[in-house]
Amino acid sequence: MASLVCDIVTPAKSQFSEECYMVAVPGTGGHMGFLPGHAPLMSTLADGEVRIFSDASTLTHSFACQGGYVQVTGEKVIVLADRTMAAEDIDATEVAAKIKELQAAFDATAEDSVERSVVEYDLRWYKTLESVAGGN
Amino acid sequence: MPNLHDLERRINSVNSTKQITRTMEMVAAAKIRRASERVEEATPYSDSMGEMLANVAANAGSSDNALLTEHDDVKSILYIAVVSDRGLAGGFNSNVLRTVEKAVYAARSEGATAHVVACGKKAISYFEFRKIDLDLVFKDLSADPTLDEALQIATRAIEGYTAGEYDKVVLVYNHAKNAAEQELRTETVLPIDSDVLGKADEAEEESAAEEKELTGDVIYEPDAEAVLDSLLPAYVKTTIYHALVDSAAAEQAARRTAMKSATDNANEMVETLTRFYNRVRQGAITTEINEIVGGAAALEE
Repeated sequence: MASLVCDIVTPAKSQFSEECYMVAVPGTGGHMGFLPGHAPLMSTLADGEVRIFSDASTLTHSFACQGGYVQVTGEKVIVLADRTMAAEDIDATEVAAKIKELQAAFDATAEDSVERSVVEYDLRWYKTLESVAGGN
Repeated sequence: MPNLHDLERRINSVNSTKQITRTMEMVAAAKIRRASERVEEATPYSDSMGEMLANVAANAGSSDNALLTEHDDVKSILYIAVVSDRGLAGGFNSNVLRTVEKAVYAARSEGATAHVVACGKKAISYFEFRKIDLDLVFKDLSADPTLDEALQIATRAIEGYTAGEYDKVVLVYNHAKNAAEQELRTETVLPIDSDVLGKADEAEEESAAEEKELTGDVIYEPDAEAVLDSLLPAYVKTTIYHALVDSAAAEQAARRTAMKSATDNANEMVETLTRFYNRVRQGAITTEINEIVGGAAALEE
């Protein structure tokens, strides 16, 4: 069976590299799935879940990803994400606590300040984690 | 005749300095590994990023993205000086700092204003002493650069550049060429050099056929311009992050080399001092014997 090689890379390190059958990513224009032999494509990614299937119905890995890009050639999918975390590593209670804390910090900071955008960025990340963890 | 006791004290003092430098050398040697691992881990991302950018740039045609357009009048330049928080690393810090300082004065003499972003305590104290204003400072991070730091610098640079506050952004840092050598690098971050993109393109054409496939009909989501627009800031961020990580590795390597030669020097000094000490002691004994013999001879007469 033809297969795809999927790489998930963050600025800090290469997170994941494995052969698989299908990769589903959250593009900014909607979700996309890639099978072997997909036409070359390059897209920006929204925050969400990258799912990796070893065959048509088996979900083997799932990653929460924030931001980034995906590049697809016939046999390779490269996901460049700002942050990623494997779905099984997400600690839901910790994430919930973080969200509460960040939400408070977000409300406390002045509008248009640099801190606010930093906090907002973190907040989006934890919300992504929450939704990915909730989906499992 | 120098005092024997003083010499002994000096030997002891050099010995204890040697202990410190040798320990620092070993600590730095251990840290080099971790730091260079981090450089390796960061490389796949920046490589793919550069490759993607080259692809998109080739396909998007002439883009009028603000980060690509050169400003006609270079009136204001931003220098990002990446150094360490700690000294005792040989010429590591001063190389970068002196280069930036010279550039700042050169820019001023041409009537342009120069802004400096300092990463590392050494840069902060150096520029504050010389009354050069700092736009943004980072400390306590040089050994452990974070993405947040890179993001903040990049955001500042990009916003400033887009708003016309800066006409050029230059990054000065030490590149860890290998475990023993550092290389001072001065890179222009903004405007993003379209030559760099072009070059990456050529290199790609020479590489595997798989890569070639990409330069053909690639589907862009949402479209090539939009992808390019979002890739460019990320590229700037990656470049800066890579420089920070690279500099951290270079710092440890520089410190190790510096401490190694300090230890060697201390060894040499102890040897010379010990020899001198022995000679002085022997000289004293000889004088004493001479005196006794002379005294005895005088009594016999």
